Amino acid sequence: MSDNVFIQSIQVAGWPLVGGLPQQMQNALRRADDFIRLAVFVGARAIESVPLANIGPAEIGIFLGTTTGPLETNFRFLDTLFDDGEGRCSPTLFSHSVHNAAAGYLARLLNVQGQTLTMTSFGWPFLSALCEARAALVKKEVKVALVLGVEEESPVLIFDEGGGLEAARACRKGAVAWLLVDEQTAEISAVARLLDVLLEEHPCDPGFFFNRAGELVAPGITENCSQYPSALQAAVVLSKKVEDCSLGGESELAWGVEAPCGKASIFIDF
Amino acid sequence: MNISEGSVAISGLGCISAAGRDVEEHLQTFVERSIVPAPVPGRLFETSLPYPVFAVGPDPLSPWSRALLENLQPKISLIELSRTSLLVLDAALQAIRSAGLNLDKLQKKRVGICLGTTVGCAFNDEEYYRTWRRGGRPCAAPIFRYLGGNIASVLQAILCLRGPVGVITNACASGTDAIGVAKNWLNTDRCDLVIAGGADALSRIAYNGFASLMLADPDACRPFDQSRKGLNLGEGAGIMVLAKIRQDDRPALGWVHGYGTAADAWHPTAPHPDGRGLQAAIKKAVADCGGGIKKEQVSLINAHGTGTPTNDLAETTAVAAVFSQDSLPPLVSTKGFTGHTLGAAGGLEAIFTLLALAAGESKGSFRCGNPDPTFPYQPMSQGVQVALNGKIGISESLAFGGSNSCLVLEAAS
Repeated sequence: MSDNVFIQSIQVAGWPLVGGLPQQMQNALRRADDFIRLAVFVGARAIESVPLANIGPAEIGIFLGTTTGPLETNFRFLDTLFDDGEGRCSPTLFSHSVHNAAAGYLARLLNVQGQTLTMTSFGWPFLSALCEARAALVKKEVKVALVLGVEEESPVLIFDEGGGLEAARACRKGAVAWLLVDEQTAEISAVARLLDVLLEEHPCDPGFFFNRAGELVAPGITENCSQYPSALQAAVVLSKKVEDCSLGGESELAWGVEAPCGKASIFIDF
Repeated sequence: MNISEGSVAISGLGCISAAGRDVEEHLQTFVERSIVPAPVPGRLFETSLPYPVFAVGPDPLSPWSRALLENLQPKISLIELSRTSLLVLDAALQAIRSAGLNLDKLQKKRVGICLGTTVGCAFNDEEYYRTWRRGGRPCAAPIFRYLGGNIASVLQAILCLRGPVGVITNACASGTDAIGVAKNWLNTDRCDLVIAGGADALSRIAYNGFASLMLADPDACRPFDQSRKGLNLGEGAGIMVLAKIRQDDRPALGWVHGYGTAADAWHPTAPHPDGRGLQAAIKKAVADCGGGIKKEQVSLINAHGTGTPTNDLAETTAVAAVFSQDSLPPLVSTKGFTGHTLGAAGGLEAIFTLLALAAGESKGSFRCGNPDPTFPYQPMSQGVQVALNGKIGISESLAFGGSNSCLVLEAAS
């Protein structure tokens, strides 16, 4: 049995969502927050890109990485606690403030019954999720892995470089989804083959995570991705680079990111 | 011993909860059976709600842990750490000592850290947010503490370790998943050892959240009992040191043979009524043992057993569906001793499972005087004690989001 893992589809989305959520999901998402909507938007598009008629629900997994989870929902829950008092908080907001709420929604709406794993780190959570998803495919735990990075910034936590609260600015939201498949499931339209993901994260000055100054990606630059949350920009650069290389007829890509919080390398061929 | 290719050794254990500050104290509590939940200590947070909790004492660090940490070079500031981080540190140091390791030895190895949490990854500084909401300019210190407070990174920084780090945030299954992911890391040679498990401190946010969902019991929780009304929250940490199996190592305390996880794809907070995902997770965990273990060899199931009406019914339904009438392992819940410790639960309960398997006996679920007769699988009631017919058991976790995860564990003889 082959250990090959293929990237079948890549989706990137900022906020507001362009194109809207799938019609058949809108009722189920009526109480969902933006974090969940982002995850469902990119996740549904990624998974719909490949016919999965022969794949059972238990053979599909979801691997989601995030730095802070649904921060705004967390604060909305606090609002209900402060304004309405104990015993009168919103149960919906509480259940949606849990970091794996988005993965749970995705599992329900896409009928995914395999592994669902949500990982939280301030470094590169999308790459952490990618690493675990690839391992699950190699182990034959799943045949299809939906890998997501979902981020939302909150005005509550935005500071300037001096440590003072920045003047209010638009907070960015965004998500990336990759659909990974095993060799048997891969379609001829697969974007690329994911050879390896090497990730080393280590402690650093937490100030880095405010604006991620000094995060270097190669090839690519994060400056072109300023519409996305800073914690997602490396994942967006990588996603666009993979798509560009695929369309441009490249044979391989060795991509890396380095920052005070560690380094990562992704190896792909086409 | 039923070692398969994917089995990993359990070299060390560390745990802290309201039921004890270490493994020995937990064992004593399990014998005495006198622990009761109490009103939320004012030192943690003020509340007007009536739900009791299982709280750890004021200082999560034992004198031994505190002395060790205060003597580390470079110096660390313990007052900057969250309560969840302190719980992790204490249990991790216990586990490292139990494994016969010290920091010098650890620092020469590739040591992964894989931890599950829920409260430990949330920004819940109420004072900061109140100030911000009023249009004030709060001090940035809580933000720095939050951004520097990833519990796996904190442990890695303080112990000066190198290796993969991960924080699993699969709600109440996080601790079990962290141990499962750690097993995979060892199987794929990402590291030599992993410090794995879960931790969570009590928080006013989660306390109010569970109250809002009407899942909390105003009295002591009674998992699996006919009169059960809900859960009591607790806090703690359960940490294992996991290692690759080598013949020349010191004797293992036991093994993690299998890990299985599956989604219900059903509801944000309620389990599938048939425990669909849990059934799949149990089967996958047994299959992950590589054929070396059959479900008939399972001699104990430590249930998630929160005491909520829906959880306990779904869980017994799933277990009944998986285990045939001629193989009915005892089913117990330990949450009557600890409360529901959220992200810590999977770590703590994996340890409790191993301890019961090592002892070769199990008592029924604490405060389950009358198991619900509608359950399709009858859990052991309080007062019943059985000798286990083997050393292999399962620890189960269910979670919001429909996650279900299981570990197949074996205690050394």
